[in-house]
Amino acid sequence: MTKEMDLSVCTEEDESETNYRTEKPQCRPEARGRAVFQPTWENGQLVAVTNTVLQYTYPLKLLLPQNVSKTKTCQWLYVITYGGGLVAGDNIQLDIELAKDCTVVVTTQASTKVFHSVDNLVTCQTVGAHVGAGSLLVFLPDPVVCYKDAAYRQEQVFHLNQGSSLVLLDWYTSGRMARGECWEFQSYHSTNSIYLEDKLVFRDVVCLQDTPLLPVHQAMAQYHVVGMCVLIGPALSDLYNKLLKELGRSKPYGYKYTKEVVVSISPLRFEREGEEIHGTVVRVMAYTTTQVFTEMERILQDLFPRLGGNPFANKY
Amino acid sequence: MNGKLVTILQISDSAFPTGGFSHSVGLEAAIKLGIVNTTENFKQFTVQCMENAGSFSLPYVTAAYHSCMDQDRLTDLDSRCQACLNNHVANRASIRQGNSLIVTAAKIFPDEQIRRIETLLEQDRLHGHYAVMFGFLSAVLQLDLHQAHQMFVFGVLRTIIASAVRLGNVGTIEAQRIQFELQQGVDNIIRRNLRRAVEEACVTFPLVDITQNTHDTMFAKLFHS
Repeated sequence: MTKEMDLSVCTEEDESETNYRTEKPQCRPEARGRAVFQPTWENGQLVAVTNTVLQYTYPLKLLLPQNVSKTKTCQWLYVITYGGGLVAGDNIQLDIELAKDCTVVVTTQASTKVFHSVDNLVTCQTVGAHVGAGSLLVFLPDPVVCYKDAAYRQEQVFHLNQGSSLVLLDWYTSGRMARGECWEFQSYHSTNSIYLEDKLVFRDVVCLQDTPLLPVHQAMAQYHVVGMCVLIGPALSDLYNKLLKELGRSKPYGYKYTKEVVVSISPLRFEREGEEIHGTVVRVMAYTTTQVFTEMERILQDLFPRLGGNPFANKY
Repeated sequence: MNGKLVTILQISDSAFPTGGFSHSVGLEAAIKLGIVNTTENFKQFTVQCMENAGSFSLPYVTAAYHSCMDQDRLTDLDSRCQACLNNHVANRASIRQGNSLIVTAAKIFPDEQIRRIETLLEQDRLHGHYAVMFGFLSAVLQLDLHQAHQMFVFGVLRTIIASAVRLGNVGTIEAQRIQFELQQGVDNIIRRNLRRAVEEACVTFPLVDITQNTHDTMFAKLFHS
């Protein structure tokens, strides 16, 4: 039996230690942020998306630069944290509301750094988003980078209505690669739930941490970046149909498979009171962050005109 | 008489026609991509699949086991599983195996409850996800929960080992030696996930999931998943 498979270290007595961290995490009271967007109509035409509420408390900051999007019908919201990253116990709760017929991009200026855990404190981020009918929320943060010994827990819940659309990118890396860190954090826990009205239609939960049978860095081999991108709703139908054809098709005879960047795609189909909602989920695993940036920029490029620009520009 | 042991042997036997042998749990794609190419990373791949079965599927087995008489709860669990299994290859494999498990069991075991679930499947009122159907059936057949858990994780391990042999990547004796080695981890996985609720069901090692998700893009393939 090889060393890493040695189970003698794990007996009945240390059950509590080997149990996953399922209890409520320990963190400070939440720092809340809230952003609300409304459409502005003139003579029956949508002329602008307007931000009506913008609230935040330390260590969270929300920015709404007016010159990044070339179109007034899309607003870009930047989520920023002071001090270059989140420390142990930070607890951020962000609520985003889109009324009907709005297009909003939510992104960050740089990756979300998570520093090491102290006194068993967990770093938490919670996002709750409501997307009104006819609206499109494009949620494109940079990756989460958990430093050595970090403990991170993220929960993102998206509430859609009939006719609303969502792009959700959620990705993370192995840590400070330049310092040689490679999957050395304590835990990375991420939950993404999508509700259509009140029905749970999509849920993805990843809880990455060493198990007594296998440490994360071994399981990850040469991979440093893992991500997922969900596209749902009528505003994205051309895009996801194209992607399903392009990424989902059988490789030709003699195709040389590469493992540096692996992209997979699944169709999504939900039914709610007789109406069908379609979409897709793209997953990616890669050796470098740049590879995923390139891949995502390529995958989402058809959306850029509606967004008034490329949210990935100058990021890598 | 220990009726349970013979029931366990019967259900776990490869002669029990649930179609488990048409699945590779993503191994075929992993080999094709070059991710699995040594004995060491084959073992690591298999452990990752077993850990995911523990953290993702066992909560459903447990919950369905405890509510085997409650059709509404089973339907809820099944529908939740459908929302969570958004990897279409894993989803398809789960539905296929769950359905054939119930259809087969309904023909073999004289039990009204199994037939009622079969009817729900026929009427498309259940997707019939494997973990939910497996937990339900184990309870109806009065197996212990721990035995059901062992059978479930063992089944994942056995399926991968068998597909590795059939893909020609490992010899039969070597395969059984690896299976014996990895089998030692089954109880450890079960113990860590015993109290995990379906709300906390999660993927522990995402790469094997992504690898399996690419299965349909292979030019030629031996397995269904």
